[in-house]
Amino acid sequence: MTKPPLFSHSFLRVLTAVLGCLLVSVVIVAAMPTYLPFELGNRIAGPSLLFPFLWLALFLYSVIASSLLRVWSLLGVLLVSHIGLIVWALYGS
Amino acid sequence: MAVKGSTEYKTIAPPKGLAGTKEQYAIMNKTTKRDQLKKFYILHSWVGVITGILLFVIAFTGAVSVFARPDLKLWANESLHQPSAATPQIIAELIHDAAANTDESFHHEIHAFLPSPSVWTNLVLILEQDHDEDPDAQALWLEYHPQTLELIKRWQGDTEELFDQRSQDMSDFISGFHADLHLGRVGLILTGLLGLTLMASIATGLFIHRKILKELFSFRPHRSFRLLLTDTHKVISVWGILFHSMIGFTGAFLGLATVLLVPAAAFVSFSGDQEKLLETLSPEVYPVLSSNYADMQVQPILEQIYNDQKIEPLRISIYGWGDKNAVGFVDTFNQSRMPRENYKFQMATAQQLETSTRFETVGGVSGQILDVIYPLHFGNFGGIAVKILWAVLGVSTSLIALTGMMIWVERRAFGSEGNLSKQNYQRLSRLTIGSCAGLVVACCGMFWFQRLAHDWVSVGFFCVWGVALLYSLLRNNDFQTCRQLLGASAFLLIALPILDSVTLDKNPLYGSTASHFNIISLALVFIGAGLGFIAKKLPSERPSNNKSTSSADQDKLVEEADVAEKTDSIIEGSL
Repeated sequence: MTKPPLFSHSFLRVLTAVLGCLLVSVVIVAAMPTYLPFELGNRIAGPSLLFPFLWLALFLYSVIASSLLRVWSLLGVLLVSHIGLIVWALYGS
Repeated sequence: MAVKGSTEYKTIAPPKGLAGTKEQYAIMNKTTKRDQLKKFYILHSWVGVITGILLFVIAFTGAVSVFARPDLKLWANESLHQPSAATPQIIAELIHDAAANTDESFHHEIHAFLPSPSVWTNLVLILEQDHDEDPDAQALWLEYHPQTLELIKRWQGDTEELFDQRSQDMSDFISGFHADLHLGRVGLILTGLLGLTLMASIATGLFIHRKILKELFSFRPHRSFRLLLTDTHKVISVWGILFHSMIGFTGAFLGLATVLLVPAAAFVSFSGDQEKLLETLSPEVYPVLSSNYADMQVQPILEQIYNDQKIEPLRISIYGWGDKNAVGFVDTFNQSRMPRENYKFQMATAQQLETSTRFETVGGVSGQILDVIYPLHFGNFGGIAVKILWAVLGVSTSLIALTGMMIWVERRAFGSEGNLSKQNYQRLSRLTIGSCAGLVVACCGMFWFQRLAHDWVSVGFFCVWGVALLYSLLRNNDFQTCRQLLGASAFLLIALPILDSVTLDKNPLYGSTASHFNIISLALVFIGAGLGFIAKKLPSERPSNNKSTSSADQDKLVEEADVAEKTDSIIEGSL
């Protein structure tokens, strides 16, 4: 029985971990003020301060997770939901 | 990244009768855990080797930048060796004169940057038109010598070009290089990303080295060169883990704040208007003007501030000059408090209205964190003891990057890992030594350029660095190169007092022996002597453990080192 490679789809994984996670983290920072239950200052500054930890968690997960499809699913859900929140905040009301 | 991961492994078939049992799950869990650790190990190595040289550059220049203001600025500018002649009365007179001799439209904002080694060398007055109303608004720049108070520069032009007028010395150069590598927004993104990758390296390092307490005291310098490197890497990493983590986080935030995070934060809450966001969170709010004239009480306000010995005024900004409702903000630095303090005054009455920190308006925990990020990153609080500690720890961060690179090369050039030839890894080693030791020479050479050709500090810095790098690449023995470059750095620092005595108008040796300048000069000579000592102690060729031992014994020592190294690590058996 042959064991699969340690990292599947190396190139795509690196691309996802480096660019994908950065993009998703920035979009989350932009959208978080729409649902954080704080005052204006905290609502804006809080996500920016959380950004490094957010990126770190997504980056490590993207590299370590065995299935790249699962990584894409998670990043995709986060990206789409937060873009939705941004659109709703800008045009919905 | 798939260098090791692409190897095919044969898994052990589960023992008969164990299918679906707890034992089988235990075996599977163990294999999965081992794979995870292997992934963390590979990630740690590759993130380290890709960012290693740049991390050294940023961390080392950061350690130097800790002393950029006031120490290096004071060393670099002879005009700051004596206390400034700009008293509250003279500053007030200059502001009044400047306002009287300019068109009223320039009274929208008036700023006075006070001469001090903490920020600005000269006294600078800036008078600005309203750039919110008029996109073509102009600004007037008046710069005075801090001792003679003679007008040395007058400039009028677009407000966007305003801060290009500021003269730069070596302290501005090195702190700017640390912040953005003098590459503008691209440089900020690079340094911000480097902060993020430092956090990733720390996190993966923690996963793969779980016996932290043991590694705190595990240092075996005489066993083998490779073991010396790995022990140094681990000991420095573990002892300074809180500092390295703090530097990673604050560095990532400071690097990415203006280019990514503020635009992202403003996108929804302020429809992309970043200036409005910053104005909302700034303590300096423009007043509603009354259109009633009033005399501006600049001198009494400055006297109040100057009389408080605990605080050092850096800037006074006056909004709505000549109006009854005009307000003034004095930005100050207080050694006993971490964030900068901003004092608000009613300009017509000189009454102090309130005191706030830069991000107090943000409120809550976020405001408090934002207030301490900058001083925490640069060790800009608590005086010289904190600065020395921060510089030492900053150098240790750069040594982690350097030892990490050397371990990576050592394991491939002289070990069993890697697919390339030994020559290729040695080239990388030469590049690493040239970049890192070359940077140390360039930083020491910067002092000479500041004295001999201060307009050429940046060009000189990069030329020295480039020559050192080229020299390293052309040499075969990178151990010898490292010694020579550190020796050259030592010479450049030790000879500084001679340079000072030749180039300075007033020989510092005749001044007060305990003056700030003399203490800095002495400290630089001591650092030079330390570098010379290190250069002398470093080996001139790759250590072969013990020259009298036979080849077989040497192989055994290396093997022993490998085993010890792997036993220390949780990843044993998986590599």
